[in-house]
Amino acid sequence: MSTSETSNEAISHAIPFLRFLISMPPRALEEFCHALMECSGQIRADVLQMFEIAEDESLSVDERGHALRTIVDQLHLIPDDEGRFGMDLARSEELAASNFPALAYQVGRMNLQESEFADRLRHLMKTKHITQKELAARIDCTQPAISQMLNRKCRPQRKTLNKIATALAVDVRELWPDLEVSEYLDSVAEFQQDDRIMTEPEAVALRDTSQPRSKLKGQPLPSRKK
Amino acid sequence: MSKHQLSADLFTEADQQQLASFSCGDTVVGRACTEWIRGSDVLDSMQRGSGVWLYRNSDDEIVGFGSLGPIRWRWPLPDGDYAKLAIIPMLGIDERFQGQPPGKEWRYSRQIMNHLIYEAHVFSAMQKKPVEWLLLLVHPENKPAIKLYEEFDFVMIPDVRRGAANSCVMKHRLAE
Amino acid sequence: MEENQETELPVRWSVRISLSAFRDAHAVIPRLAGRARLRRQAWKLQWWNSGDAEVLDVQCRPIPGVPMWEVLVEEGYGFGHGFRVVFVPLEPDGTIWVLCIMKMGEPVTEAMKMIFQARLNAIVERKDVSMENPFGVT
Ligand SMILES: CC(C)(COP(=O)(O)OP(=O)(O)OC[C@H]1O[C@@H](n2cnc3c(N)ncnc32)[C@H](O)[C@@H]1OP(=O)(O)O)[C@@H](O)C(=O)NCCC(=O)NCCS
Repeated sequence: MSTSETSNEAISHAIPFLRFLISMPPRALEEFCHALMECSGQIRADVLQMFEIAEDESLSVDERGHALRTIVDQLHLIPDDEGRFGMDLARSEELAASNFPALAYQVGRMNLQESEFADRLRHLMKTKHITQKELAARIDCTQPAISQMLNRKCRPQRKTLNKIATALAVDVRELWPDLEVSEYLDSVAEFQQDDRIMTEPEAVALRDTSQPRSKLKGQPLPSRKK
Repeated sequence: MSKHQLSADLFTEADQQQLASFSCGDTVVGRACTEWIRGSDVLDSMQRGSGVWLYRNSDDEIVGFGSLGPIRWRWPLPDGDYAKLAIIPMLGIDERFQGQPPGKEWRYSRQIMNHLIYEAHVFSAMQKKPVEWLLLLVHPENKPAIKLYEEFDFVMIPDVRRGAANSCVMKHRLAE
Repeated sequence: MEENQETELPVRWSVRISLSAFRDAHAVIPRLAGRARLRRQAWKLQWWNSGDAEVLDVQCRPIPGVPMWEVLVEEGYGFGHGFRVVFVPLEPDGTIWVLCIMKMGEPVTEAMKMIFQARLNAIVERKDVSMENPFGVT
């Protein structure tokens, strides 16, 4: 391969990267270049490769998104509050919950659900005279998994809950009273998703203009601050 | 002005501190509603562009909340184009104020619905092309909610059930 | 009943997540309550027995062609049918690194494998760097 071919290839690899650089505001560009200078040769080469993936229109939006997010890792030398690369999965929940009340609320709910479940499971196993080993065998998992659930160290997946309910011959809501609440909230979150392709009945209903327009215009309410 | 007149103010994360005793009741949807406004789902919804309002009575008690947001769904392929719609992601009234006041004229549920429909028109007017539909999700067994929505010209979309909760979708064709 | 004694399972790994995987989670589950639930599934990895096809009640499997694994979380939180948590065990450190969070339906393509490798390269190079040890000397 001639030198000019190699350099042409190098330039073509660098084009997505250059395009990205040009689009950056000057301040961000300065910080970006600084971070890049501090990287090893390996990581610099990886950054270029990630830009190539991110710009490749033949790849999926998901792949290109993952590539762009990779650059976050590559250019952040010490990103974490702990002063180390990455985050400790368990500690990051604690840390984030102490900063974000909404997450603290969610963590509180999860802890409560898991401990209620552990109590209910323990009670049911006792009344039905089932050992951890027996239950594990019935639901096709290991005894330590059951033990961890009883210790509130294993949040069961929905399918595990179903299996346990069947094995103990109880309604799954007896094990996890919040189940329908979570499902309802999941459906509310799903309903608000952009880009979703409508189902045929939804499309028919929204194309149907035989329903007359409402005459209601609504009414404003005063603000209490005024 | 009636003492039952509600006020509406945009909800912020800081307001969650005042919601410690707010509860929409012990039904599945009531619990979901409470969790939505007191937890993180309301914040995610706001991040997606929803407006959320807290409604208070003349004694400054929190009566309920309502929300209104944009969504962009796509028509089925081969069309695949976007349709801009408005939705009411969630609304709820504290159990102490459900069915209150007894007279219909100042019923809180109606004041809230009227306000949300008004806000849907404000939202629609801000778009390049007016928004035609206001949608919402409702649990098939939530009789008071369905009755309330029907009174405000929402009709059930047939043959649509969403999620494990099997929720129904209702549509309201906004006035011009 | 002796079998019903709840002995604690010893923690085998410290589980860390890279910042990119953390951002992936925000992209694939734009909902805090969902991410919080997914995290509780991923942290089961601290009890993973190297090479096992499951940990507690979640399934694990190796990713063909790369020295990496994935956990299959079969819950959607309103955003699909489930998620894949791609991880790599770094034995000498006793650390499992979560490299990537993907939707269950996303295929592991060659481009994705390059992405995993690039993320791993950054981890290997920087994992020992800290405020106290700015040059990452081991
Ligand atoms: C839904 C909600 C906002 C309605 O507010 P409300 O103050 O309870 O509503 P109203 O008392 O005005 O009831 C609406 C209608 O349903 C009727 N109704 C009440 N309970 C009913 C029942 N069990 N079965 C049939 N109809 C019922 C009422 O009589 C009223 O009809 P009317 O207009 O002819 O008098 C409120 O109940 C609430 O917050 N519920 C919990 C959360 C929730 O369900 N949110 C909606 C999510 S989609």
